[in-house]
Amino acid sequence: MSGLARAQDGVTIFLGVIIEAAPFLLLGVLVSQALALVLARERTLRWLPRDRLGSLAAMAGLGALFPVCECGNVPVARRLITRGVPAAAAVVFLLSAPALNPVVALSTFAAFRERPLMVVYRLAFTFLVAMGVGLLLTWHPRPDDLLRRRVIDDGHDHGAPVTTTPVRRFAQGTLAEFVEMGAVLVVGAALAALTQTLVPRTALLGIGQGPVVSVAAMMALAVVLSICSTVDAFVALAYAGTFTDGSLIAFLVFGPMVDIKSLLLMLTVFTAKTVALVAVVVTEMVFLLGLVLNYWIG
Amino acid sequence: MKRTAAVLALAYGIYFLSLFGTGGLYFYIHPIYVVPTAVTGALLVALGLASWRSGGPAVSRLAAVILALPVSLGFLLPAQPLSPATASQRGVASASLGRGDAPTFDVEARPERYTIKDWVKVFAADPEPGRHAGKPVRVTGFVHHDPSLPADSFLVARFVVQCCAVDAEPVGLPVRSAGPPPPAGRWVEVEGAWEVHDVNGRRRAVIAATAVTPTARPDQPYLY
Repeated sequence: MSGLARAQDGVTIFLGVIIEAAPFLLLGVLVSQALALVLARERTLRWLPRDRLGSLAAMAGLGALFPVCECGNVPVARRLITRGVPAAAAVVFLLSAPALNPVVALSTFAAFRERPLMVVYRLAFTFLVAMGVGLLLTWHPRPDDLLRRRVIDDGHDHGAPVTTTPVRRFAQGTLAEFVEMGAVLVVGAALAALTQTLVPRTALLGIGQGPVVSVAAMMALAVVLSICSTVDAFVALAYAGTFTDGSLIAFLVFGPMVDIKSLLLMLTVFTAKTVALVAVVVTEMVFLLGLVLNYWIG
Repeated sequence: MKRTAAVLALAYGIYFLSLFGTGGLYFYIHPIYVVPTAVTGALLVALGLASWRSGGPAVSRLAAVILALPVSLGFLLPAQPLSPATASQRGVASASLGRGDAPTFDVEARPERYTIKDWVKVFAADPEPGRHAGKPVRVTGFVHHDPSLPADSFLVARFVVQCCAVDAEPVGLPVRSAGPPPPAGRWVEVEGAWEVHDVNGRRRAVIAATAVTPTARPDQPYLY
């Protein structure tokens, strides 16, 4: 097939990701700015549980209140951190919120109506992995080192002159955050479009029935596709006939946590080291859970 | 540049609204996201205008340059749906699609109104080719040459989109035509009826075409 048609399709996929993600990104930024207004007086969130497990679990539950995709969650997480939420708890929020919310539960149920257990596995495993990574990070000796310096200093305002009206301040804060997050989304979309046009998908799919190899393949597919968590269940459905259950659940748990664009967005809040650590631990945990499902449960 | 962020917001807002106006959004995303995208466009225009007078926030030059790229591409190049080239790269499935996704239409009522996706669902619900023999077919799609089919056969295919162009899955139905098959990528309307044939040693339902008419690309090129 002609290279020109391929290039053109690359552009269509690229723009498709951006157009599809833009409403979710803007929604996330608006929620973040609204949080900033609401929490303007408070430096810390006093209503959060103090103990280790309690604060992490509260963050996992918070996702249910923000039914936005990966791209929308990062601005919210950043806002939470500037208001005193510990980095480990913010990671739990980032990992769990995209999948652990009613919208995603519904869409997963819609896709796997015949097998409601898939929804249970997806939610339970997401919670488990997010809590596991969060717990691991709470043992970090200097939690502030997990974050980018700029995020910590950013707590006061968004650089808008104090003389402007609240409406203008809100508009300016939203714009500033939209531009910054949007640029990262663009890079993620470009990478997703490039891999999609260059790697033949059939290369991944010849291996659907191996209990080990299928899990690895579906996790790789999740990274390459970078689809929003609200609709990824329908994509997983396309492989339901040929792939093991463990690999499908691995796809549904792993995709919202680790894909090209969410990793890039996470880099705006956390240091590269933190993001790499989170990605590695998540990969290991999801892979093991997929194998457990294939060998002992499924 | 003081107004960089405001200019970017206006550009994206106008781009989304113009795609909404021309129907170009259907080349990129599922119809359920069309209205949210138009609302996003309107909000971005409003945000751009609201911060125009005060000059807008300071943003990094790198972020601004990166963000300017897609919207420039969008304005400079004509909006294009995925081409059949991507169908061969992704591999056209003629097997199952949407398990448990029960047909929302009356299976026996008007088979000549089924889309390619409807037929794929029908065969997923009842894979026995013999039970579909003789049913009339009229579908529109693009021509895809599948090397595993005999030389007089081709697939008539469409992309099925769940969310956006990223997840577009090509699905196709096998067609046997009297004349030589049309060139790959051509949009055609295929009329005929299902027959059972032996393809590479497997019994398979194939559309025996009575007419294969070249046609224009539909305004909504994907199925959902």
